[in-house]
Amino acid sequence: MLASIKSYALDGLNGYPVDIEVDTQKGVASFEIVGLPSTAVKEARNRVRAAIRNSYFDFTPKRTTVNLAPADMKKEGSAFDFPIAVGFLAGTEQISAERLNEFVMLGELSLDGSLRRISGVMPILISALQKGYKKFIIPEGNAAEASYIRGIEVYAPRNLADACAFLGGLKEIAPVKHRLYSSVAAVNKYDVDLKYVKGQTLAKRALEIAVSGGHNLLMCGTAGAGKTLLAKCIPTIMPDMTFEEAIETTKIHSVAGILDPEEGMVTVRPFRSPHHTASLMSLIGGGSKSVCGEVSLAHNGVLFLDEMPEYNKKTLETLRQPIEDGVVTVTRVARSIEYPARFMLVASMNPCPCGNYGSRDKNKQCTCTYAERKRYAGKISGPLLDRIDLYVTVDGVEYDELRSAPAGESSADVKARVERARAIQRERFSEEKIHVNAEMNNRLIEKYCKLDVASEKLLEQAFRRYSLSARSVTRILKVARTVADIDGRENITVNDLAEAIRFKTREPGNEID
Amino acid sequence: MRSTDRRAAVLWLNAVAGLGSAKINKLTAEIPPEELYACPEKYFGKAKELIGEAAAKLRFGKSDPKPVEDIMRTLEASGADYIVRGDAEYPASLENIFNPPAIIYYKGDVSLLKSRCLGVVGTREPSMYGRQCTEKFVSALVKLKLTIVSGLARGVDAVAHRTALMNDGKTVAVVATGIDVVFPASNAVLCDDISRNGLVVTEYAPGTPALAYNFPERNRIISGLSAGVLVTEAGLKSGSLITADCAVKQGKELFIIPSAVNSPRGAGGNRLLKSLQGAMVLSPDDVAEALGVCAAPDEPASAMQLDFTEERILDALSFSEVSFDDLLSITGLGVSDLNALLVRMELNGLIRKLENNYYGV
Repeated sequence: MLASIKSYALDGLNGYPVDIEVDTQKGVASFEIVGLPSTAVKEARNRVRAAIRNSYFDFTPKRTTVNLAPADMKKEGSAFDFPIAVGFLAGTEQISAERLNEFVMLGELSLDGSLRRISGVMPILISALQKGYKKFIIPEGNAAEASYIRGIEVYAPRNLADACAFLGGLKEIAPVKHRLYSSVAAVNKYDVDLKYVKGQTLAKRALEIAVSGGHNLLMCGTAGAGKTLLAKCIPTIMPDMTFEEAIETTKIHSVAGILDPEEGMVTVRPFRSPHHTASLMSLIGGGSKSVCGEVSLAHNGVLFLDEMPEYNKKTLETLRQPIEDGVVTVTRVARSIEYPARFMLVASMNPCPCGNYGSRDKNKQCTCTYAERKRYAGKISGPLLDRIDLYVTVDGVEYDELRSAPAGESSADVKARVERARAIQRERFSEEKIHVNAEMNNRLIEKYCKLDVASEKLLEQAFRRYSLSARSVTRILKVARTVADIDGRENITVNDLAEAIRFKTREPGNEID
Repeated sequence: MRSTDRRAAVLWLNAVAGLGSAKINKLTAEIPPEELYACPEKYFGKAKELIGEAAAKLRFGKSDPKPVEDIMRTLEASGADYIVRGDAEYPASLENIFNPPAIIYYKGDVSLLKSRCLGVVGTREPSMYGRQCTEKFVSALVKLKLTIVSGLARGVDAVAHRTALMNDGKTVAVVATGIDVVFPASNAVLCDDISRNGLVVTEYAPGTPALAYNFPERNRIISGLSAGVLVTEAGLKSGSLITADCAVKQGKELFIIPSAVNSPRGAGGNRLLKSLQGAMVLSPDDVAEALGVCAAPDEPASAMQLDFTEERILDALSFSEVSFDDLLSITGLGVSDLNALLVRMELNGLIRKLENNYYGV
């Protein structure tokens, strides 16, 4: 007999419906899965057989054909185990087929019949909802991420037997309770705070500006000066994620299978710090399965590259496009997938290979040769450096300062200012399809970054003195706009501009003669 | 007096026959170059007596004057020119040294050769300290209208040239390659800047590549042009020690900035200091005093209207270099205000940003 079950599969971040047809006939015993299944899908037959038997159903060998339609899309993953098993049971008339077509079913089966957590549930539910599907059966482990989506009815049984009892009307299962995003978002879950960072006033100021306007930041300093700690504080001063942002990021994390099963939602801004041995694919995304990379996992958050010159040069250069566009398009022969990647780039580096160039400590003098320093600095290309809006030197802290300095401003205080600056930007760009100053194009710079006479003069002076490029000037204007926004000024003043110039110019030691 | 024949003859000896200054000087001391040029065969025997086997080079191109005109045209096209000994532009300072350059190719303002010059040389790999000292001394001394002479090498040389130009001073680069060759190539832009706002000179024929043995020989011109030579930082094997040596032999003033005794980059300068004792200088004023140049009466900086906070910052910086955090507590300003103020003061040339968030004057 023939049974048909609705399921869903993912192509990038978008889902598409899959009809699972299970046909059981008398004949030579076999279990074939057709419709471009990957290895994981083909292996479903073994899990389905064991799960059915261990749930005390009958698995008398029959001639069974499972078709996954549409047949021209490659099916990945183990989410079809559950619908295939249900299809087999309906086909062999062990359960009633009446209510089967009400539901979209997803889930991996364990050999003992329980339903295991799968990846990608959030994006599947969202795209299925858009197509008009309202009722779902998913594994219990995925209940949390489903709970935030309004307008759907989700059932999350523990195992195959419960699911079948529910489908047959023998047992009631309560639908997953809807949770409000605001109930989880407001809680501060960070274990770092800016008030624990001693000294570093300049670096903190640079962080505040960078976060307020979404600008990219490069911190340069000796080993142990506190670059990484400062970077880790960035999420604590970033504005709370809106529900839309949280959903965007959760979708990506769900597909990547790194979502917290309890939380079910990414509620804090991601802070991704891939190791410097990271490959190009792991950073950008791609591979035969076109998976998403670190830049996408950092969407709406921070991508932190510690020891930037240690990364593979080619890998770094590929960052240029996502930095500009905020999206990565992974193209393979069969398909092309777009992953969002709007992140703030924060990088750190030592001043030279030995890490002591420019140090004030008499016992820590640089021993690098000119050629070594030049090679080190040359690992980061000019175009990439040009895309960085703020440079700041993180100097080592003195012992006295470390032990006795009063606690500085807390992250919450800084965050309040950042939220205010962001609110101004939201209002300004409400008609422009962008969110922050860093995303302004030339037309918008012309419109919103007007300078008075004194500022024009200062900019010209700086242009000559520091040999700035045209791109640097536009970056300076954007940062100046942000500095003005932090203080809630409508027009950019000379001081705002001067501060932007200060953070765009590098230290004397970094210029190589 | 610019004698065309004489000029052509020396150019011919140098660029066509390929003789260096020493041999040209020997020949022209005995034989008028015009005559040698007109009729090399006649003087061949005598030339052989004077310069040995190298005289054979005189046979080359003797009857064909075209190459000389070609070279002149190429020089002119590239904006270069040359002077020879005896020309009005040829500086007296070089006449008096051992083995004066027989010919000087140049690009830029040739009158600078006769201005009051200070040689500034040092290691190709300066430490932060060496770089800062170079900047500090050069920026102060160009304000006293001294022309900075150096060798267009990487490191201290480049810093000296650049600082001079940035402070609207004059600078002369004495290079050891042909006037149409830039070495190292990374200084091409700087070299171009110098030729437009200063002067680039060489005694080597056009097309001469960077040859190791020409560099020490060139150093005698740096010291020769200068009233004194300032060594800002030099390692034990630094070529700037050769320049220092030339300066002493030519009876010029020698100034050495001391380095930390444990720094390998300044070890050569320190060793020299130890042997010379009196040469140590600690501030630009020491140099100015020894050379008898006085400070210009009204500094443009003092004409600028400074407010109270700016005065305080300058006060603090006049004692030592101060970190950004300390300036915060000195001025009592907020981070953003202080940032803005410091940038404007830096752009006005009042202070300088140093490494590690430090500031100095």
